[in-house]
Amino acid sequence: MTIDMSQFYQVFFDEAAEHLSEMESLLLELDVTSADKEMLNAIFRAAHSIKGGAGTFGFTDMAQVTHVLETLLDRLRKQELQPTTAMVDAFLDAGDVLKAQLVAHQEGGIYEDPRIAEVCGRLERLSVVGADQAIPATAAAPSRQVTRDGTPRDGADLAPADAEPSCPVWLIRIHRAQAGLTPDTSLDGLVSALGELGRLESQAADANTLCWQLTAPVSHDQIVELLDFVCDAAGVQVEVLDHSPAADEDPGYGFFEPLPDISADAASVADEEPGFGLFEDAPGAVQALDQEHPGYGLFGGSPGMVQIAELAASTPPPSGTGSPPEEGRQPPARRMPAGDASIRVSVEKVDQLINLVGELVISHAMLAESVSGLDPVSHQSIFNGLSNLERNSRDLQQAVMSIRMMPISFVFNRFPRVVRDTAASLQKKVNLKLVGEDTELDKGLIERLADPLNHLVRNSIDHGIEPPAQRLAAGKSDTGQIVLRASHQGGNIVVEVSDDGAGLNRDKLLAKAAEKGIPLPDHPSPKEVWQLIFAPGFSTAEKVTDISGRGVGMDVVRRNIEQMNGRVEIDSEPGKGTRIVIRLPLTLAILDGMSVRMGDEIFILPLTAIRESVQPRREQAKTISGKGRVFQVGGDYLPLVELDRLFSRGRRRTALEEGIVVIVDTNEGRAALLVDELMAQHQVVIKSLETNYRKVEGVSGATIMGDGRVALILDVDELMRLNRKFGFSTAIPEAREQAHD
Amino acid sequence: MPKTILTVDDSASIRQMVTFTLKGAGYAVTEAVDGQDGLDKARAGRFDLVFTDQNMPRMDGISLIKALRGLPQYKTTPILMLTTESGDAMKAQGRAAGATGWLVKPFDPQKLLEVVRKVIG
Repeated sequence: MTIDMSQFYQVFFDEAAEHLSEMESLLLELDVTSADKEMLNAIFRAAHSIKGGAGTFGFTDMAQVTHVLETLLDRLRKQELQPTTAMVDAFLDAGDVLKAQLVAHQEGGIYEDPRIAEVCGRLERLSVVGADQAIPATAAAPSRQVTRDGTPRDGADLAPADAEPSCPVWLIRIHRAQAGLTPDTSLDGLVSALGELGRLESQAADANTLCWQLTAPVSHDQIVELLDFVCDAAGVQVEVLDHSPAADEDPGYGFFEPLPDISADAASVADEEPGFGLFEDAPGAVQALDQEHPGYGLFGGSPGMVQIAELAASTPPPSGTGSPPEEGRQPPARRMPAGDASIRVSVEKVDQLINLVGELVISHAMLAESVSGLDPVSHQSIFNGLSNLERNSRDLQQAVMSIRMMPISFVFNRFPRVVRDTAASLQKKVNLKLVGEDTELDKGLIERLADPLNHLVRNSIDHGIEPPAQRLAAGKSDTGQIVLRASHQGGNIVVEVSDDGAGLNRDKLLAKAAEKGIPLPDHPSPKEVWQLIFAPGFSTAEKVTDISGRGVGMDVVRRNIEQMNGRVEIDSEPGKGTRIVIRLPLTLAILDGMSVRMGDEIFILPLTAIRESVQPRREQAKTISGKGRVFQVGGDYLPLVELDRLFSRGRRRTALEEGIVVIVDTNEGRAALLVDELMAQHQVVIKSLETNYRKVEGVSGATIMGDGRVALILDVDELMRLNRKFGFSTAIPEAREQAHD
Repeated sequence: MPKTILTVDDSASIRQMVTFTLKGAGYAVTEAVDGQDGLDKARAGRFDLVFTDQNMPRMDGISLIKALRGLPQYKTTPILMLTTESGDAMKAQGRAAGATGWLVKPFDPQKLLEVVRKVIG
């Protein structure tokens, strides 16, 4: 029976990826100074599982890497070696190599990179440090081993890692005196020449003899010829090892090295010699004997052998003889293995479902609209049915949306590594704290959140957290702290990146703004100053580093967040630290909005942007020359955005006091939005305007209302920009108007 | 009635491969995700053969074998340990715990069937 192993690949890929990320997070948690034994065991187990799977499914490159990884981990968990930071670094790098190999296999290729040999070599060297001086040749795994007799170079073992599995293995002995070698003859040339032929391992030998094991596709004569250059043939002995484990198995993971007696037995079994063809013999005679077969074996005299002997005695073996059937015995229930509790569905299918539910919500709204003129008393059943329909479709909508929801830990989990690596490269000490990793949000948002967060975190480490000495001088702990926090607030997801670093420097920012010619109010509020760092090309870093400081980052961060209908706020206190807050909608598919009327048009205003609404009085509106119209609320003057002016370019509208002013939060602070009427609160299904029509300034999308009309969803941040553009251009008519007032 | 086999392994891919191979050969297979799960399932049902991995969370293979041998219905049931470690020490531990035999990992489906046929027919 041949079985196509490729059908199991996907499960292996998923599983290996899971083990790798688990290994990484454990490694990052590992306290080198007092390593938790359980943790080391868990890390070992992860590597071990990957090795087992990789070997079984034929991904030998991964099996090789995990093998060296596991060797060192094994020594750690057995407490033969003490973990060091260098080891953790090597483990993490090995994890990266394995990830790359995994990705390559998923794409049907093979990852080839000098990193693989480098990491394996590093791991091997680390596992040799402190080991007993000579590992006996017979016990050594036939994987690449650091040559270690003093003369050969360390690199020799790394060269041809992938010798052919069927290569003969040669044992080369050179008697120094007989071969005419003085103790100070350099053997470097010989070692590298042999190393070029195949895999060379030095073997334990005494002072008078040199001994190597060479696995290479060469003949006896070729080796002798090569040795002839260096030494007298009289002192050279080259023989083929007939029972080399490396000859029988794939190189690089010969960890199933058969013991001599096994091989002997295995050979006998293969030959079907009497006495070893166990099941054909008398049961009593065999069950006491160990049976060793290639790859597996049975322990003679062990409890289970009774049944096996019974089985062997009954020929041919009918099913059920070994264990007599019992009354009422149930076949074991087929239980769902853990992996079957979930199914994998393509995102498109889920999106289609979400679209359909959106249509359903719209259909319901239309129905409700068309029966609204009916008498509720005489048509009670229709109204009851409609309210049931509304409840059910809302539940359905929520259930479908929840399919797309994923815990934010999917993004957060990468940060321990990011922080560790970034901090190390900047020689800073940083501690990362994750809060609220279980907070769920839309998968689409999670993916798009990763880059901006990455930027913010690296920025915090680079610019925020001070070097240890400076921190100590400021009376802080030398280790900085970065907190990544996620939570639900109303219909929003709030993601926060805060650090306890130096904070933003107001004067520096203002100076930079002046230099760049960025317009600012006369007495800018702290928020307005902090917002400057999001301006394009803005960076106050004295030197540009690889990590951050090119000034493109924060600009891109804000743009990315805005594209998700989110907003970024920044708060900073000199010497205490900086806090950046990202507010995002729960999902990109549905929006809680307020419908507002402007003339004959209906617009949707995202609820998250709305602060309050006020009935305006004529005297609240003022015009400031060059700045357009402002609206006074309490002691503040907010930019006044008049929708009809914006969208119809200055057409006169009815008086201010006949409309209503909605105070909205924008990225540039609060603003006052003048509309004709507030209509109702809705949950609207967002339809992209770009895919169906084209991008319209000031509008983030569209939706279909209950009466079938299309309503545009307003983007308050863009409205502000548009207003500024428009406000400047109409500064003179505005001034005239004020004179009129 | 088909012979029943319990396969205990924390690796889903290995479990899937073992199950697929053995089911294809007409055996009834139950999967367990670690030693503790294996013990629970072994208690709940009866199996003609138990395959167990060594390194697993919660309960390792050796402990599972010991625990199974402590149950009257598994006194003489063949138990094979699947392991990537074929060293003497591991085998000695397995033997002492009451294992019937060992099978090295990685193994291919043919090897698996060979040993299963040898043990339970």
